[in-house]
Amino acid sequence: MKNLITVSKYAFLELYKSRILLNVLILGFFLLVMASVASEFTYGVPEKVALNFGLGLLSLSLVAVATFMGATLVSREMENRTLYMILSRPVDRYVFLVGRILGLSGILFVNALILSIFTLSLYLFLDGKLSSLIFHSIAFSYLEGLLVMLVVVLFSLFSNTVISVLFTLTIYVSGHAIEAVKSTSVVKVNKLLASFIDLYSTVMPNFTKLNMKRFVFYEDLVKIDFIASSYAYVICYCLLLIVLSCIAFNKKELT
Amino acid sequence: MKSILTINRLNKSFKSDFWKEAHHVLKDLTFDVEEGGLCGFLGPNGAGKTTTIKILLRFISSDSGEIIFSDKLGKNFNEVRKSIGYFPERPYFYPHLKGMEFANYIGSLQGMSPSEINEKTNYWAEKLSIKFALDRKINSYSKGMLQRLGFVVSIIHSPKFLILDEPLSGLDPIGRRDFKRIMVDLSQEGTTVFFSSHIVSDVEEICNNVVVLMEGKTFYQGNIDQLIDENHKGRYELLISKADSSKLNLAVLENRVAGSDLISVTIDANEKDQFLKEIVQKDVDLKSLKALRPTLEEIVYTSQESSQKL
Repeated sequence: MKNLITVSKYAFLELYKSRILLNVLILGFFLLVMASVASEFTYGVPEKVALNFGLGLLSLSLVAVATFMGATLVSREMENRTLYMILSRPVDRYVFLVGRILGLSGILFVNALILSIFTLSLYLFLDGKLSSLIFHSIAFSYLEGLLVMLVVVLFSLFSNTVISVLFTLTIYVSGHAIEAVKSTSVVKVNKLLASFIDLYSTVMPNFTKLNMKRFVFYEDLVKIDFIASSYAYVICYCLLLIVLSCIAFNKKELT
Repeated sequence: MKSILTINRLNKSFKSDFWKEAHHVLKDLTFDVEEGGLCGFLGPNGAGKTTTIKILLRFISSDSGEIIFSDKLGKNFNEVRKSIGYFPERPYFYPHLKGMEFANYIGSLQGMSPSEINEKTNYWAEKLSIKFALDRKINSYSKGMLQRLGFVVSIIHSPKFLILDEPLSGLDPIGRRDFKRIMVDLSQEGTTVFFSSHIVSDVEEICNNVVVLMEGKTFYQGNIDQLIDENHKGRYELLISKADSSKLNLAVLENRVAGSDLISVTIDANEKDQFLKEIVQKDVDLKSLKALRPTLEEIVYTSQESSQKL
């Protein structure tokens, strides 16, 4: 346990010192300016536009950081041989992997925190009213980032960085589109295709379940059961990916 | 003397492509490292030294074979790792961390207290002339500085068994001297030092034992002096003045001009007595006579050439 904390602490420190959070801060200011400008072009609902804009950018920023930093989280250690120095110590491979994941999760958390503060500040400045769903939406954006990170980490254990990123982005986009695809008439009339889409949405991450942004201003449309089941879904999926990654990393030849 | 490490019939092959034939890197590799002292792990590039070390530390798996660590290092591999210090070939560390932060990281993983880490890091950094850079980011380090930091973090926890993979490559002469001195000091203090190199003279200079690897097999294992004695063919070198050379029948002998007025003559042991007799009889001015002892380098190179011919 002590070594897990040590690995995650130094993974966080290493990523933090790579100035990624400085970029997030700059993005935050950009968000503030763009949201302010965008809200000026609306009629009567500037706070809604500001919040939608902020939550959207928060989600995209988390996915981008998770994808690009997750793809090199372990693979760069293997390429640079830095992990030899760590794994020759009394540190199990799974401890190392989970520690690195926790370190990046910390970075994603700080990222989410900074952009949420910017978004909510502007929203409140424009007389917006807080609701629990806004916080759920931020939490789901963070969990979505975690899920994307775990997908890319798993891919990076089998493939190179570029392919891992491409696969992950494909899964991310299709995971968001899957529910919309299900409702198309082409799928509805083709039973085989419908079964395939059902299977795909069961096996692969279904990001539609994590998209709470669409309900932020329509709280009546979402039930607490749906939110709870979405939390359970993403947490179970994350745990499954961690276990799979640990198994793969334990078996990996660190040549 | 007890063995701290025993490797028994280790085999490893790699496949570059799925459809291509496997390339056998280690072929029934067998040797042991005696406890205490300095053991060199010699072999040309591609002989399998780094592969062996990676298998030892379980970075990669072997196809077959057995690796046994002494009980003194620990009962299970986790305990063994606590007692081992490892320095990888061409070390590279987290570029955005400072040298001291990296030492703290490694020390914490070894279960050392912050004060202990601080004390040991400063002690070894001072000895390895890297203390001035401990509060600098690692990405500003030169290759030699990375080597020095790598060596510091390999030994801060006072390991019982130190495995060094090409530790001297890329170092300046002062760095090489410092590294060698510390390796000798550590071995005298009781640490078993096992270091791989393809520079034979480095191994001959500081090691008492050697494991020589050729094409994935153990070519020789044992004491360096013993190896040299075994390969000592009993040849002698004489130096005589050039002016006297005409008095002797040098046509049958290998000779070469060593200096402006001296000639070097190499003879076999069985020719020595007769040659000396001739020198006395013909009143030749003999400047020196010494037994030629081959260096480890000569033995290894000769053996390598003969094995390639086979």
